[in-house]
Amino acid sequence: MSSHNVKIGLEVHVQVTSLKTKLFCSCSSDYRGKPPNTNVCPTCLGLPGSLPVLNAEAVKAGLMVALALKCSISDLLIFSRKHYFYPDLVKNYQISQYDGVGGAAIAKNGFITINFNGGPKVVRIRRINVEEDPGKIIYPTGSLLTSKYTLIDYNRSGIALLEIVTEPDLTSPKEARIFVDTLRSMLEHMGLVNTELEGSLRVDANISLAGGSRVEIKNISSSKDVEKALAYEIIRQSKALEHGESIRRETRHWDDVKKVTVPARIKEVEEDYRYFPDPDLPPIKLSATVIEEVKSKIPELPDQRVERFIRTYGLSEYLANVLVARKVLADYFEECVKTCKEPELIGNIIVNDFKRWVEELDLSMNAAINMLPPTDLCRLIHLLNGNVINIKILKGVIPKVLKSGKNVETVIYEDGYADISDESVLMRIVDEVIQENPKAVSDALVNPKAINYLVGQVMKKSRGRANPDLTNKLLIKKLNEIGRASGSAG
Amino acid sequence: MFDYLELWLERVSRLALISIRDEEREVVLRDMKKIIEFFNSINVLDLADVEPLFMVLNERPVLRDDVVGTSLSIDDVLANVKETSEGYVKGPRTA
Amino acid sequence: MIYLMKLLRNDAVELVKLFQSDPNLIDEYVMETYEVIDEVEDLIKSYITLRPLDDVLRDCREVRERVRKGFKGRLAGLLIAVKDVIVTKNLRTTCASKTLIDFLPPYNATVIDRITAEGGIIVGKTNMDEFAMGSTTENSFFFPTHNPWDLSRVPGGSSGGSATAVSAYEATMALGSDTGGSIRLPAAYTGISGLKPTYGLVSRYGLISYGTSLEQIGPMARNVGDLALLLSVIAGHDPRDSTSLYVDEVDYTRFLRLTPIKNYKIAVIRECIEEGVDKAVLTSLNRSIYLLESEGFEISEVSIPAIKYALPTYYIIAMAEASSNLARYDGVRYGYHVRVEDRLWDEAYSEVRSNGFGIEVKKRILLGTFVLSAGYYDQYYLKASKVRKLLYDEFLKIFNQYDVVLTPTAPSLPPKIGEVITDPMKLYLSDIYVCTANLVGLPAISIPAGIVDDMPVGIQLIGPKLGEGTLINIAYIHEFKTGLKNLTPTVVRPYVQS
Repeated sequence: MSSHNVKIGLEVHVQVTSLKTKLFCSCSSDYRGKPPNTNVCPTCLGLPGSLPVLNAEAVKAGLMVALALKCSISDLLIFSRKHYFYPDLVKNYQISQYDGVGGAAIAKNGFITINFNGGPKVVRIRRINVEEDPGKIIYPTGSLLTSKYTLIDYNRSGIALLEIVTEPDLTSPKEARIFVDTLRSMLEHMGLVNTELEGSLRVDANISLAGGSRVEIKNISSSKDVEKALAYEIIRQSKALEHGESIRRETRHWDDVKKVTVPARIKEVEEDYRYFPDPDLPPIKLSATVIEEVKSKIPELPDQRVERFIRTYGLSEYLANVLVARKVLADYFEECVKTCKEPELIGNIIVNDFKRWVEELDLSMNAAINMLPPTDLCRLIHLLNGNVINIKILKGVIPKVLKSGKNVETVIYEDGYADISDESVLMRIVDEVIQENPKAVSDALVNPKAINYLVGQVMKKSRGRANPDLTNKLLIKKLNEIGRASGSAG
Repeated sequence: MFDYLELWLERVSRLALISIRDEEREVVLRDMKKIIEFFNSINVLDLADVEPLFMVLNERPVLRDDVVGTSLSIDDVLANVKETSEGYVKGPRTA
Repeated sequence: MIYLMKLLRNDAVELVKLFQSDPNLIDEYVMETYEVIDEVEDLIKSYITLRPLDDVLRDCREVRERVRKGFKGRLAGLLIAVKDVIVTKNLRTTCASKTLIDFLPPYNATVIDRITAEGGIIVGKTNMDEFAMGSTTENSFFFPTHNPWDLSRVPGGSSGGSATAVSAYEATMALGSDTGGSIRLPAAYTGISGLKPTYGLVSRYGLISYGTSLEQIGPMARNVGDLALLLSVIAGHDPRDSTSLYVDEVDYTRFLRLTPIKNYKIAVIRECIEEGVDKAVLTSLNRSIYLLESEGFEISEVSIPAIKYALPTYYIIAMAEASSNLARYDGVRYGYHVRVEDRLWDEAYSEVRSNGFGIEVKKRILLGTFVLSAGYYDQYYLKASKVRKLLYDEFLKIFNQYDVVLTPTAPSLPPKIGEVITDPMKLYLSDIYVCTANLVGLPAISIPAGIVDDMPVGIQLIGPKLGEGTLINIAYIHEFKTGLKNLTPTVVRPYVQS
């Protein structure tokens, strides 16, 4: 593939989901799941006479990303109007930013360091724009081509977006995926974007092969699909080039059901956006004070967290990187470690088992964590440490939990690893163990720690099914009785 | 000159999605020509060293706190919409 | 009770006082006004949408009850006409365009809320040039408005309906909007006062945009006192408009005093009196200069060579902004519509826009599109913005030395209906003295300066940023000295005298 000298640049659009309101009006940013056109006001409907007023928090979000991406920040925050006609665009212009005469992007010339093939790689950021999201078009027959009309829901209209544009520094689909993952983790760590929300992260990818023109693939909604779409394009384009065909400059759509790119069947409209500074929104000075204030509020970022994971928990660089690639995963890990220590074991289980199954089963990370909360994972570790179950069983329990949605208790019980929680049943086993191990009993009477041996024996006899807490309780009770009896005798 | 203007009109009509009816065409083209010449009168000025002024600057622009306000009722939203379907606004085809 | 004259002949402040002492007079005043409307409206055509008398009387009753309970609204009981470019909740707002022929806004402009909070009553929506594009009020989808001083002449535009409604006593005061002279020009042509405030003093929230960076809503009235009163109500900061200035509420009526607040220095721009001005206008202007001089004000001539580029600069910027502001009219969400089924969006939009907009609007959108388009942006829009900066700096310099700038409002008397509309250059020329204040964002007022051949003539005073008080003070003194107050066109006289 690299023989084609592939150049890839990405335009990542992320919704600032941490904001409570839209970019230019006070409608809620929580538009998902609402009945159509119930989350709109004169401004985000573009009604005649309405005016935009900028959400102050959106500026801070943009600045934070700019700082995290090591960009140089514009002296002035300037919004420009980008003109094109489309039914989802209420004013038939989008309030965006323009890096040209009369305009400015909030920030430009930054970079992100990604980890690729075991080494760091710098991907340059061309610019960051703050802009508004259009509404949403629904095709009544489900297809853009066969629908006789469109249905429009403007609830999304005006949601704050950040557009992050890279230089064409990426050279393979995998690298592009890692870039998106790295960026996503940064945005998650800054607390700005909940990437689990549908449509909160959208990518347009530009790709060119040596000897071909630039092709833009629009509307890719996950890092995995970025990799797939680009891989598909490379094969498509290199085949064409091998057959002596030329690759013309075009826009294609990513069909995420069929996993292919298709030519965008939009009419070839002349591109002339007629940007000019939006006179409704006077430029805002981005003062050093504001920038410093935002800087001081940047939380721990992924690279710092990776370092801390290695330092504090003794994790390998690999484990630390994989965990931190998703903020929820890293949070999950730390929550587990708080409850049951053993960072290395937990790290390995989360990365090699939990995460793998989440991906395999195509679950959302949050949903999966809800199914196997830290207390439950720690319960498994506890059973493992008590030799109640071995690592193989533990590894088997995780997918069962994730597939069935049943909790750990149920799965273990159903699989025959269940506790014996019935006191009379367990007492019988305890009695047997005490009779069979007089030496251990007298040891335990002197040294309370020695009770662990007896617990182990109960576990063994019950084939691991004894409830450890209850076993402990019953053994102590029994030993106390024996102690009192021998004490009164002596 | 008129050919050039015809081409010009075609291009801006396409960008603005506005067409000029045949019976209006001659008058519009004549007026446009006059107005563009009128616009061209500023070309005699040498403004290389002048910064543009796009709007009369505001010393402290209005910003908004991130606090949710009220949205319109669905009846108000759809009151002016001519074609609707189950709360959606009906729009033309996009392909 | 016997009155020496009809109620509606009173100044607004007097009316409000009368209503406070006897709230029942509000109804009487409304009836009087509607009687005038019945008599003259068919001749003048001020209103696109006149509210039915019963609706207005209902509002009256409400205000009356509030007044009885101690409400001291500054406009309590006054009838105010509103240019149809300002949105009014559940009251049709058309911009005099087929495009918005049935648009019922679900919200009020900030100025409307401010007026009703003070007890003002909206009487109707006035005629205008479509989307405020024009200087004659002939470019209305509905009908042209006639000048009450001479029905064969235009009232000026684009706030022509507001001007005639006030001039013909069809309302006590009115709101207009001024993008390039649209308040001042019709004020001059109809013998009333009109003020374009400092950019950002009055909220634009609810003003349907034409030239965003240029325009302001402003008051129109038959005398300077009424003008100051209405300005006091509508001016002030609005968090819904990002271009709104942070200003304290000012009571402009305190500038209504005959002793000047200071010894004013007045600059007359040489380029505005040198050529192209009608003799009638010059004569009136000179009389005003003489009069102000005799007040002890210092009057000097200054030169602003760049001002001759103000007109093309204004039109380039206004059209550029218009082409953007009017992009939203596609028929999908409101207004003139074509059925969408089986139509491609750009075809459907093109049909809506080509049929919904009048020819002047279409021309301006096309030209505005042109001056912003790739390859022409630098040559037109950017260059015009630079000329704007030149003018801005020139005016800053002038106001370092002078308190106000004096010019004619219009270069000539109002043209006959149909006289200039066919030639864009003649039409645009009417704005030559008024458009500069919009480019530089400064306040400007037009006041009557004479009546020549039974036609009113206006002069313009331009003030420094937030210099509305100064303008009102000088205008008030001028009004007192000339006696040019509450001018009443002949056609209305029989109906307003008791």
